[in-house]
Amino acid sequence: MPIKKVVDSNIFIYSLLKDHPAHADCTKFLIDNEGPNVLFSLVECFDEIYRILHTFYRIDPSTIVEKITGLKNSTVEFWGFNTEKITDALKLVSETKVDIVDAKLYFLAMDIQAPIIITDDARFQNFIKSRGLLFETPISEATRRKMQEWEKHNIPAAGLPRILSRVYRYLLKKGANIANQFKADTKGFSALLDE
Amino acid sequence: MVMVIKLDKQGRILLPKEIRDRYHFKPEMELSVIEKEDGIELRLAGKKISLKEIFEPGIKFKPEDVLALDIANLDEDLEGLL
Repeated sequence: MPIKKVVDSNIFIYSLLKDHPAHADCTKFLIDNEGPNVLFSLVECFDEIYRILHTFYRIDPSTIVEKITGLKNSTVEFWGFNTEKITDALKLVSETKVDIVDAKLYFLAMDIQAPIIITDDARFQNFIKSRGLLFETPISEATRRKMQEWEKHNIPAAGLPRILSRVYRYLLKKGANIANQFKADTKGFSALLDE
Repeated sequence: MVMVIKLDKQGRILLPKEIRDRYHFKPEMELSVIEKEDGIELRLAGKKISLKEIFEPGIKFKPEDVLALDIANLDEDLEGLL
């Protein structure tokens, strides 16, 4: 009887992005664990996959839908979350500040008796550990170093720097002068404009 | 839509014709009975798509697009960054 594993959406996202540094590790993990009754996730993860691939990585919606349809028809079991359990998940969110989808993944693992949750989200990993379950990430240390390097070069830090960088790139289309002025005024995307 | 159906003495169920027609169920067709948290699910036992087929081609993306601002959908766009 294979060990059941619950998979977080970040693993699917990295696997779907061909040029992402974590693509190979995550894809290998999923393919190596392919089979009936092994990999489980939630239909809510389809929403997360769509939202992140579309709003962050700028992937065309039809391409995302095609991949999600493939996943729906794969051996990965995507479960719905029933209405009775939603209050338990919300209670857990209010008590622990865990993300709502992560809370649902945790309850899924409990319900199907899966001892391992596969995720690369450090906050979720801490939560899983605190609840006595195991977590695993398919991303090796070498790949993680490559990811950090890749993110440093390609993606500004989350929050203000990332938002202001996007505004800068938009302004670049209007003209280099205005864009560079914006960059200087925001102290290299680290501060809001002075009044 | 919710329909109530009865089990017969042998534990068999008859799927209503409306459902059979809508999902193109034909005699001798194989169905998967999947246990779910809140009940059971019936699905056509069709061929599964392999994960290799889904992930190995992957989706190409340009890192520079990650920073492209979609001014027409600004609220949604910035929300994706938070």
